[in-house]
Amino acid sequence: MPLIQLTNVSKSYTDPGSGAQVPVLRGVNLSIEAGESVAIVGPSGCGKSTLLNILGTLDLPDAGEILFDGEALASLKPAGLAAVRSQKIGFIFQLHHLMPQCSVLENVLLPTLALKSPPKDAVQRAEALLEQVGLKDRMDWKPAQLSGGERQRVAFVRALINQPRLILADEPTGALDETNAAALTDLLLTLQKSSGVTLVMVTHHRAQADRMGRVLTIHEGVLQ
Amino acid sequence: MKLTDYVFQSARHYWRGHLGLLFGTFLAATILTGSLLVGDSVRASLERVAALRLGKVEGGVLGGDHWFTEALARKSNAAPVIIATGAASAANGKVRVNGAQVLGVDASFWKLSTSAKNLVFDKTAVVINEPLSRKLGVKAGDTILVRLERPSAISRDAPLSGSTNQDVSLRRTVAAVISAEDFGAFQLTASQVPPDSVFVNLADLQTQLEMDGRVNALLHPQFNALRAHLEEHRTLADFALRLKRIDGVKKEWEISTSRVFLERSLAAKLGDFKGAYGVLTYLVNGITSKQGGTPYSMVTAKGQGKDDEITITQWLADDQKLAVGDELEVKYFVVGLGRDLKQQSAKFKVAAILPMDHPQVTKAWTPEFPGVSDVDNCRDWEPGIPMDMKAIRDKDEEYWDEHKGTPKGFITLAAGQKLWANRFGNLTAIRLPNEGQTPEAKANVLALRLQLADIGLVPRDFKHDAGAAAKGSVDFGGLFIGLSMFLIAAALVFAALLFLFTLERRAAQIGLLLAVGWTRSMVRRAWLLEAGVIAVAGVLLGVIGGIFYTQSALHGLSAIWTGATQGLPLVFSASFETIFNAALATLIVVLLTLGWASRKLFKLQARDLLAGGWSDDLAPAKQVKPTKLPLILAGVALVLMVVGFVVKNPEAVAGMFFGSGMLILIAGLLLLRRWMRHDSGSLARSLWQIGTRNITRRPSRSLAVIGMMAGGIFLVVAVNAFRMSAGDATARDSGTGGFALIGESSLPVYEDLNVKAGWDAFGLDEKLMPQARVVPFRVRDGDDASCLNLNRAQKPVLVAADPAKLASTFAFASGAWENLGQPSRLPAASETLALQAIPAIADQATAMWGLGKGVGDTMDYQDSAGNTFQVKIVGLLAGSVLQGKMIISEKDFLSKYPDVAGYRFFLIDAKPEQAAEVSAHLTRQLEQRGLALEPAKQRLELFLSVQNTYIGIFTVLGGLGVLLGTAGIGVLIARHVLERRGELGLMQALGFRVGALRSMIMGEHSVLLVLGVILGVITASLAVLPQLIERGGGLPIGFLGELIGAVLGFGLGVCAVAVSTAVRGRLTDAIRRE
Repeated sequence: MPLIQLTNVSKSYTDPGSGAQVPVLRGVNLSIEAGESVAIVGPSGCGKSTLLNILGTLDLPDAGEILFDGEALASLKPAGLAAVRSQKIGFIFQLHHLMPQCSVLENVLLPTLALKSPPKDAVQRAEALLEQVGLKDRMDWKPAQLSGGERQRVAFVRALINQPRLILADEPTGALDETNAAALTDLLLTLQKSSGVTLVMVTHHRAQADRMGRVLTIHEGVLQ
Repeated sequence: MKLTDYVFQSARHYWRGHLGLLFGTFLAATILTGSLLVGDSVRASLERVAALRLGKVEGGVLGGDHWFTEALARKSNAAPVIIATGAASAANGKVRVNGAQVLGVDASFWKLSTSAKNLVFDKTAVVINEPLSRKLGVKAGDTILVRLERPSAISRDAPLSGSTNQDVSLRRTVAAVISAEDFGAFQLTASQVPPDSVFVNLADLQTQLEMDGRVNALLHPQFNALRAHLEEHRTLADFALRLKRIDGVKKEWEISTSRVFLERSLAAKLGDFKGAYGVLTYLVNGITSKQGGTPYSMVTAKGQGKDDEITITQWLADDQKLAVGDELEVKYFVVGLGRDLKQQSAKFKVAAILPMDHPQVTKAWTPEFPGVSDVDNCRDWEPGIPMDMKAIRDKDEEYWDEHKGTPKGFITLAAGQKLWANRFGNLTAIRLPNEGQTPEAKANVLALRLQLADIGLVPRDFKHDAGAAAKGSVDFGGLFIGLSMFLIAAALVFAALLFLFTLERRAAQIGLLLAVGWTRSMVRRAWLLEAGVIAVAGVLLGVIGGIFYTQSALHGLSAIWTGATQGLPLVFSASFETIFNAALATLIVVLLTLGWASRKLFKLQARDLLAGGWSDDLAPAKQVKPTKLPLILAGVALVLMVVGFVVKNPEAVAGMFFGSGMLILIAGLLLLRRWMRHDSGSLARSLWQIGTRNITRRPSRSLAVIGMMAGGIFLVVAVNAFRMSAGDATARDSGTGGFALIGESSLPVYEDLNVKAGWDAFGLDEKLMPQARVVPFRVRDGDDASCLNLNRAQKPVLVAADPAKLASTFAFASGAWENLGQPSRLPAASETLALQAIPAIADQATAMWGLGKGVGDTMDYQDSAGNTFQVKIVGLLAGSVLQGKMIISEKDFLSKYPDVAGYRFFLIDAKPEQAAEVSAHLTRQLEQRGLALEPAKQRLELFLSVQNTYIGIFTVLGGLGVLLGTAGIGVLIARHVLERRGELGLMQALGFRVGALRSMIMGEHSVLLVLGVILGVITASLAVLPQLIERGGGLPIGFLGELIGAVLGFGLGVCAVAVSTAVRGRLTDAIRRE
């Protein structure tokens, strides 16, 4: 059974000027197996981020069905969707979105607060993950004291803290220089492989995409 | 990490961003706490006054016109006291104080004072309190004159009650001037104003009033003990009853009363004894027959028989040569309302003639009529009825010398009662068989049958009443909250705005938390907890601020707003409960406000929040469909205005115009909202036009600026529409009822001042008086329920007049004088108490604020016999000079208080040009009665000044609110500009000068301020239009003008500072950052 199965998923937005419906995704069919790494590429405005948001339950499709781990997402209420996000999905954004008021460790632990009963070993796991990304000695630092690459590494760890089944990365290295971007892609793939998590990444960089197990291209809302 | 850790860390990290929230909460808490503490302080002040005026007194009995024995008080371990009203003047006669409280006291009274300090002074001296000392300008050692009325055992209105004006003047040395703590503030009436009191030696006053051994009040330190034991010590003397052995035809006991007529409640119980029968002896004006006439004779009614027959004495038969079977006519006075006497007559047939030595022919049948029984000659009679002395013949004098008041005729009791029963009673004596008991034993048996409560001598719980009264007629806490509402609202808006800014800046954080699986409620809870941490700090600071606020408000109430507290000495009081409640309420209100203000943000999708915040920038401009709502609102406003011009009630007019202004304000805001949401589609060709686009860019913020300015100015100015002025005081439908003068007398005036007999009694000018019309009111003392009394009146003063004399006077909010004129009737057994209620009219302000009552509500009173009856409000006067009183018809009044004689409250009609002359003349001629008059318009303005003071407080506090709102606008502008620094940098990069950009921003915000002020001024002017038409009508036009100018000036200044601060530095750096 695939981890994610999208069947004929469509999504439109309203044009602010004319009020007309503008299709963003048109009848997308997609199946992603557990442990896979998938890159989604395409030009700006083609619907990559919309697809990622739908995969991450941050957005709902206008039509079509999404099965996550065999469970139809359409049947879930907002609280249920939030539970799916907290337990099964990890997000990495182009901007790190770290809480400036929290330390590195606290930022990593933030998703555990969403769980009904945070795991007792959450802190140890966070420390272990931070060690894996080379930030063990900066656990008590605030985001403002970190470099751009370091901040994004914290965001990676934050995405993994609840041991999700799926990591969704929206141009995770888009705000970094090439060297840092390459290093972080290595790290991301290493983490993905070591944890066995499924990775779906939206990226503009063909080279980065090619390092994924599968590359999907979206053009004018259609998955090719 | 726990949620609380996150919350506290966030609060700590973003403390600068939360300063606005902290300040807003601090301000709201300050005002709320302060307002409630003002309420606490006023209540505490009233309680303090109550404690001083009652000292250790808990309960007592007020006899009123029923004087009882001093022994009753002593046996009950109570202090016997005489409480009377009189006039006090300095020995030089230059200053006179009417309505002074004259108290006859002894050592037992002083033991009940707070200080328990015993004041010993002999019969040549008196003690006075500080207020009277100040008013008279006298001190210890000076001499004062005290004038009061000698009480009558019987109502002075009763026929045969004797002469009316029996004043007593005391010339005494002031032994001491006593403070409030030493019982100088003693009074039983719930009032914050200390009375003017003279304390006279009890024995001295009893002697002077010819009331030896009797008092009309007793005071006790324990109400329950008094209630339990008072009745145990009653004697016949306490009921003003006398027991006499009669050795006539048969041996009998006779019970009579010094009040002449036995009270019905007592007569009913005494008449129940086996063998008892009633006697009614009356002074008739004459007995005539065909053969002649006999003036002024006693006729006794007793027993049964034929009601049209009379048994006469031989003397009468001889006088008129009457024989059995002859017809004769008896002429007599009957009492109407007040002292109105009407002569009537009845015909009888002579049934028998008794010889003068017959045992039945005895003066024992005749009670002791004051002014009659105690004089030697008929010509010296002063029975209190008009007498034709010329009609008295020598033989009548001889009869008096020989037989005194021996009746000349006997009729049946039924016939006598039909003719002479009146509101004072229908028997003058009751006779009982004498079975050989001693007088003492018989008196005890009789007394046991009676209850002091039968004559209204009921223990009263003064302490409880004082406690209830001290809760206050006006809840100053609520009042100040109401008056500060705009200031509180401004503080909350201020806090909410700044909280929203912080929230918007951190919108991505909300998005992230939602993305990592937090539910919306979790995120919201975390935010509100963070806000709560700040709010708690603000509230704690606000509590301290509230204490200072209270001190300032109390200072204001003692200095510039004295109209609201009417002489109450204010003390600061703060209870933990109040502070806790205020703090909790502030916290809840702040969090609810923040929750409401941020509700939209928490509904946004995580992706939008993560994409870079939110704003109504994102909302697309709409092709707004034309809406009819503003037009409908304007239409309704117009209708209200038209109705406002037709309605006469000033408060209704103010309400109509206020409502109309409010609707126009809303319509204006709706129109502006439409304009802002409207996409003009035109091309912006100037910096100014781009600036205008910015106004419409965030319609909610722009409308908030305009709304806050317009709403603030509207409220502060428009509430002044409710300022009251006496207006045309000569109009019949005005608050004065068209009466020129109003006044009270210390002692009752029994005579009708509209007729010659009354003018003669006081030597009034017969040329001037026909130009005036006096409407007299009977008064049953009680609490002043007007807005001048801060205590909540427990039993408001009852006043009574003939409703016909008040027809077509005063404006009614509900009902009419005719409602008082319903004929009274005996209720059927099946009728409920409410149906028996006596109709009353009260001033609307008295009913609403003083009593918390409305039309249809009832109040319990006790009649002179101690029975409870209800008074039902059937009408409300609109803003009248009759505040503080319950007005009932004289007929109803006399049915409940037959003994309350004379009139003590007056409304006087006089031409405006003669009013002063009439006032001076009446005051001078009725000086002995202690008449004090003042222009009715002046009294009305005094009442209105209370409401106007409240409005004044609102204006000041509301003005502060508007200024705070303006400061909030400054912050809002600064924030707005800071958000736009990137685009401003871009414009600078494109070649625009910083000065031009600054002008653009200044211009766009100035437009908002000016629009707000214009909308506010227009709508407020509409609301105060009636006052403006009435040449200002008491509007503080200068102050309001200055306020509007200050608001606009302050607003523009704040705007300039905000713009200059936000546009400071290199704007182009902002582009790089972006």
